[in-house]
Amino acid sequence: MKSFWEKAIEKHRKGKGIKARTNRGPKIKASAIYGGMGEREIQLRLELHLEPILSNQKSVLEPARDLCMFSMQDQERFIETVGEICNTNMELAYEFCHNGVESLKNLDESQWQQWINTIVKKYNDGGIENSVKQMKDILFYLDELAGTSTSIDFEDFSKTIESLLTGLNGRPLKVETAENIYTDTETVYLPERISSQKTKEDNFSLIKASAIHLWAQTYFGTWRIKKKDFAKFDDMERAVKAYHFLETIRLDERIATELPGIGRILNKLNPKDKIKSLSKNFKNAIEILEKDKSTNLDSLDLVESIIHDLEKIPKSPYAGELNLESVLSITNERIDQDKVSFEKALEDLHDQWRKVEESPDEASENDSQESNEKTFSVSKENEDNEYDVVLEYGDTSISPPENVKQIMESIIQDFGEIPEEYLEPAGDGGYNADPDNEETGNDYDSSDYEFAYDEWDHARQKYRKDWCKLNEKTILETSNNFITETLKKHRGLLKNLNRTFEALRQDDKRSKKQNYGDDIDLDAFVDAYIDLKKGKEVDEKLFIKLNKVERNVAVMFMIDMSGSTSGNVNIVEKESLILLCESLEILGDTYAIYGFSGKTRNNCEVYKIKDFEEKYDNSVKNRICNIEAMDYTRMGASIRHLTMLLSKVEAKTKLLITLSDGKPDDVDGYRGQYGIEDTKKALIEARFLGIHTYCITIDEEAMDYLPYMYGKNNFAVINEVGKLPLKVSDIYRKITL
Amino acid sequence: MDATSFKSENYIIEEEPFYYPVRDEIEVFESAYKNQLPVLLKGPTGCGKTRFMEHMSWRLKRPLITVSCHDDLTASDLVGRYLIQGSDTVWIDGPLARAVRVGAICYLDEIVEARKDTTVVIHPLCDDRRVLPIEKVGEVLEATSDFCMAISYNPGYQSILKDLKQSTRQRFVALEFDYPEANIEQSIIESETGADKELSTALVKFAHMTRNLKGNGLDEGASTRLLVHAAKLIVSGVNPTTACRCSISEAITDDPDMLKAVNELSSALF
Ligand SMILES: Nc1ncnc2c1ncn2[C@@H]1O[C@H](COP(=O)(O)OP(=O)(O)O)[C@@H](O)[C@H]1O
Ligand SMILES: [Mg+2]
Repeated sequence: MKSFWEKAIEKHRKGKGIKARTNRGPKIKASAIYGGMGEREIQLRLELHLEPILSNQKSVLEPARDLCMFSMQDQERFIETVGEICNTNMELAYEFCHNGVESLKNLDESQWQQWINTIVKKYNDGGIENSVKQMKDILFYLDELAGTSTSIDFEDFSKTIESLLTGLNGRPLKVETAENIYTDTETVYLPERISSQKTKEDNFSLIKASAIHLWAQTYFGTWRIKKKDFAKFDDMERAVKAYHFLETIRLDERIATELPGIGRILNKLNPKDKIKSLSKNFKNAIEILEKDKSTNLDSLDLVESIIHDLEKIPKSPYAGELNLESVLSITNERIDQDKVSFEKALEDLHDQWRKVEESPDEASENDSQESNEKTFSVSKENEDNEYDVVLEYGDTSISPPENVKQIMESIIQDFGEIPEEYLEPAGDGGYNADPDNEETGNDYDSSDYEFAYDEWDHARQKYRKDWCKLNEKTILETSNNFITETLKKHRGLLKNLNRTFEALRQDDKRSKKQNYGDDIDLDAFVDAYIDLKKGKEVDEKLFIKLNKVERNVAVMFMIDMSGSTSGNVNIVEKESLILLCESLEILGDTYAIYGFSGKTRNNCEVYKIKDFEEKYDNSVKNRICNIEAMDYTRMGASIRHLTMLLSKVEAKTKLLITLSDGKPDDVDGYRGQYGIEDTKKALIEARFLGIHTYCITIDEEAMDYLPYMYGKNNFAVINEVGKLPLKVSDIYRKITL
Repeated sequence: MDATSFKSENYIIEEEPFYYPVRDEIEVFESAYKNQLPVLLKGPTGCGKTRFMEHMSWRLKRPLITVSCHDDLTASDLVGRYLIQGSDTVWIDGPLARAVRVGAICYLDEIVEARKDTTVVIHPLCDDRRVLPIEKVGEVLEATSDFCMAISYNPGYQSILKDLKQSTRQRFVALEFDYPEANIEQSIIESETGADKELSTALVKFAHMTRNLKGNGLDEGASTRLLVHAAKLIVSGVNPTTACRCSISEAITDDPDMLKAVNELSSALF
């Protein structure tokens, strides 16, 4: 059946046309200036492609009007392209009608197809907005094409800059785009595009300089200020500007010592000699700030002396601005958080050391009395402003655990030291802060569950018998195109994965002493020869056979389905599973996938997605599509249940991999220390049964508890959710190599 | 010039191999040796384990027999095998048997790379029996007090299939190695290559930057060995950025994005 519009067009071609007015706008003229189609015809033909999404608000009137200024050839080219883009996405084609006409002027036919490919690629990579931006940016695209473009975009430099900043010491910094260049001390904001310099290299140098300047602000203490430091100035904004100028000079000097390569760039962009020559006050300020020992307080003191000369200062292109407000709000939050974590950590350490010192073989009786009064202090051997973070407990210096060190470094970055009051022992709290959860099981109905598991009570150091009631459910199947979409979206990655996993599988293993094979086994041959000489019975297994590696791995994936995974995390988890299944199918490893969630100890739930026996068939696929975010994260019970399932499988290597987005958490007291300790215990139980445990998480704070639960080498933290699909398979490959 | 050749079991290191002690590893090793206990060196690649063994071999005046393990290494490769000579068969000791016979230090490098059934042949040597049964000849070799067994292992390895079995590891005195602290690492670079303070400081800084990237795109940061390589190139006149690229960046990653970032780090420093 031809659609209404197809018929209409046909009629129109035959010269009959539609006489009636369309409901998509006022009557339009049908005039063709360059011998091409008229407005009406163009409109109709565009509508033919876009019909399903057009409405009163969405018409192609305007593009039709613009298009009739072009030759027949160009018009055809355009309309054909619209049809082509419709195959990818109709909305995109609609946007193209509105934003793409301009490009007809600028591109000839030979460049056209490549341009369209770029647009479609942008859409595939970054969605419709990204693509529209590209459409509007035809001039820039042309520059790029001619190789004359000197600017660089955020997406070209952000990865490198982020790694660059990670490599430098100090608190980790994220990189994001914004109109202005600034930092809130946790994220470095850089512009979408840099084009002020003459060459691409210079533009990259500039952005590098900006990023490092912002890093230096956080690392060398520019932000150790308070709002009231500026209160005495009438024009506070001006004072902040002056402070920034002075700090830039100081930081440049520090950077030059620390990173000479960057120092050279900075000096080229912002030559100090020139500023020195501007006025005596500037010269004086620079001389003070260039000294090794200068701090941000020196800058603060100097504000007064230069505040009236601000206009003379040449603008340094990389320094951006100081965004006082954003920094203050974020630092306050962090300072509070760091303080709490630090005090908690000290208390834990305190406890640990007390235990050590109380144990009879370590210290004499009367000594342990004293140890209760011992407090912490920080050793202040700081050479070159680099604090050696060593804690002193009484007379003993102890090197704090990695996570405590990080908190301490963060505090030092904010204050320049660990303030005295941080080191005073906090009252009680900490361990005992968790409500006693003995009495929570009031609504428990004993007939309503399939499995019961013990739970570890850390505070009492014993198990709570049959504490968690657990049911196993199967996820309902749903059929949609999630799988196809995912496979399409990640087809590049998939190809890559296939190749690597294929290589893994085809790794040949030489089995010696075979009855037949590809090669003679010299060792066996010599042995046989000797036996022959000695008159013994001769073994006939004299060959080497090349075999596929027998992997014999069984792996259980435990998927976090807690409420916190809703939205993006859930989608990425599903995508990861799909790619993983594809990879595992190549390997031939035995695997099962279960989700977990639940609420309170009486309703622990484990959701079957695929068991060990099942094939990766449509049912499994449809269950993956239907994974949803549910309630809480009581990890211990789920680990115990899945461990039980895994222990029943025959395999040489068994592996339990958890995919999660946060720490153990449930409403009835399964929080903080309690949950972590129970999870750790459950993992120990699993390892006792010969099961390797591993965790992949996207929780940024995971470093605080994962090493403790899983051990130093048995987890991976993925800091970019979008990378999960790539990483999960990759990690799996690495740990089972 | 011809290379001089020694039989490995007779090769006693004459000149003190330079080793900068990081902690009390020398004392611990010496007393393990005296007590006839086998030693396990744990640590990432290129942090001085091999060098430490050479040094200890010199210190204890025992020959060092090193075997680099790989997944084709069989028990016969270690213990020995019959060979045919003319119309006769002769037994040839493997490196392990030779080490036991002459009372040498036998060092199995990267033990987890060896097949599990190979690893077990060292078990009887690593407990108080201190014997090596050679089944094919029907002989049991008893080790003298001179003999010493040492193995190395990199626990940072992610692969669970290449973990060291408890039954093996629990026989050893374990020494943990890691990249040395900044000032020690600098001294090592300086004495290994004649680099000046400025260069060694910059290289160690660079190493720390790459180690910060471990887990954030890099599997492993730059090892001391790589720093020594870079320093050697720079001292002999190669431009520092090039030297870092060739001997460090390219050695630690193939990922183009990471390569770019790591190279940016080195060009920021030099
Ligand atoms: N403590 C040390 N003292 C002297 N040299 C060291 C030390 N640590 C590392 N090195 C240097 O690093 C290089 C690599 O060390 P090596 O022993 O081969 O590492 P590993 O055996 O741990 O992989 C050595 O050749 C040496 O130059
Ligand atoms: Mg080595």
